[in-house]
Amino acid sequence: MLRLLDVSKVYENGTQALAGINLRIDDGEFVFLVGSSASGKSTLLKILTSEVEMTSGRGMVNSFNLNRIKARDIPKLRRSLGVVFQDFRLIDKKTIFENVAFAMRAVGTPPRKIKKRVEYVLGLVGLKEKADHYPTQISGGEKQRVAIARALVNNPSMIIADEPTGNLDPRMSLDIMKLLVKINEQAGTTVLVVTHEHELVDKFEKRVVAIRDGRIVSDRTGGYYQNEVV
Amino acid sequence: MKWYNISYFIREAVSSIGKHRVMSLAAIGVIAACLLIMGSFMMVAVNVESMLQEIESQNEILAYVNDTMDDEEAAGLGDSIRAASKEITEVTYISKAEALETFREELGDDSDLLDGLEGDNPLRNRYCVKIKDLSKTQEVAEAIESVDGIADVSARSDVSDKIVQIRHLATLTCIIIVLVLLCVALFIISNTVNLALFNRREEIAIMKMIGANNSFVRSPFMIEGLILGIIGALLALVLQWILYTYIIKTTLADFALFELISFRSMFWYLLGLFVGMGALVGGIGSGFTIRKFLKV
Ligand SMILES: Nc1ncnc2c1ncn2[C@@H]1O[C@H](COP(=O)(O)OP(=O)(O)OP(=O)(O)O)[C@@H](O)[C@H]1O
Ligand SMILES: [Mg+2]
Repeated sequence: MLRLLDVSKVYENGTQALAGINLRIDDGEFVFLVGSSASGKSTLLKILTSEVEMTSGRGMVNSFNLNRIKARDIPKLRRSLGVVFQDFRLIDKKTIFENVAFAMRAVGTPPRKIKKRVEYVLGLVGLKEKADHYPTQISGGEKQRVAIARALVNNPSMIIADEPTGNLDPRMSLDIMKLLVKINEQAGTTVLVVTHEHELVDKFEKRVVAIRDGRIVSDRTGGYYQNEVV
Repeated sequence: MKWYNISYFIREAVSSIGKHRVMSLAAIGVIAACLLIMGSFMMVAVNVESMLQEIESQNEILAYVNDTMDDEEAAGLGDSIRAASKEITEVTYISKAEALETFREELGDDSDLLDGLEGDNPLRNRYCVKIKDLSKTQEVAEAIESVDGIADVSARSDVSDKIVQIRHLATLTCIIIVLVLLCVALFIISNTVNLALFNRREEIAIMKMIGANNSFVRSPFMIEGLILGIIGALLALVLQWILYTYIIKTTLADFALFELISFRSMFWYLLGLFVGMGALVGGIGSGFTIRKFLKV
């Protein structure tokens, strides 16, 4: 779960990216975060992962207090979140299997358990057969599936995805979004997805939070993107 | 830390060296070059030192016994000479007959020049005195001269002063050059590591994003640096051996006034030094340089 109270962010160069954000997401929810370019979506996610410090306001993610988190606890916060990016961020020199496995190694999981779990999540995203391939040998949609598998592998309570379909064609985008919905429904993992794509959001009847110029301008469960003033 | 973590780090480090061959070769080359330069200088320094010791051991004080004393009296002066100064380490009595014999040997084929002198030996009974600290030569010589029965003393205090000077100069130069080389080595290596890490900053950022802690990210890099450092050190050792044994020894041995120290006698010392320095610079260097990439 996450809770943000009156959160603002002003970057060092004076850009105000967020202005008074209030947001509550409960465990098991599926939320779309929408808004035009430069509206502050990525900044909001970076505050959740503690990549960026908020200028004012209060916030908590899972059991972590964002205002008081110590540097050595940041890895723990990030392990409780599975993060997925627009550009996949896979390590090209590692196999698909290793890309997923090393998220588990980082947590100190014994190799025996790693093998089983990685095979399981790769099966979940439909990539069991490509485990020995390298990221350069698979398609964009497949890469994003690997990234989702990696985000899932440590059983996070929440998945955060920043425009996960931004680099994919519409068909693949729909598949990826369906995969995230499936994870949310089957494993109960909370999912927060940032996206630009109207048509995609409109295909699912989910909670949509719209943000403009660093403010939340609408937040409706079951709402459709095209009805919002963004 | 669990064994499977350590074995993972080592496998990771080894495979990473294979995947970044050019960068690894560059790092090995840089470390080997720095150690080779340092080692070459050290070999010169060691040889200079052994040369100085050689000269030093030849530099002795000769105390001549008064001719009025007979051989037996002269031979009994040893203890009073030894008592003259705390600096004295060795006192050897050389009778005039022995001195003549030595002289004869030195003359070799021309020893017949000394024929007939045995009965009326013009040489004096003498003591050969060695001291600890060459810079005290003059002082000790004077002390010995005041011993009863000593006629006069010959000491090349000018030579011993020179040796002391050369040693001071050599020590100073040695320290300065090693310090400068160390700085240069650290600078080049930290730049090499920096470049290598810059190419892999994305990888590091991804690890951090996934929730890896700093020591998990750092460990394989440090082991990688350690391995590269040790390989560089071994390479430098082989190159040093070839350079020293074949080039310097074959060309210089004929001209050198002193015997050069053999590489073999230096081997373990150099091995320890090179591997120690290589591992230190490689491991610590990469561990230190990675810090700024960990701030994600
Ligand atoms: N590191 C930074 N330093 C200064 N300004 C920044 C930084 N990151 C983002 N900004 C600014 O903050 C504002 C919000 O950026 P943000 O990346 O959060 O937008 P976004 O909604 O994710 O946009 P997009 O849809 O294009 O990804 C923009 O004006 C941007 O230029
Ligand atoms: Mg963005």
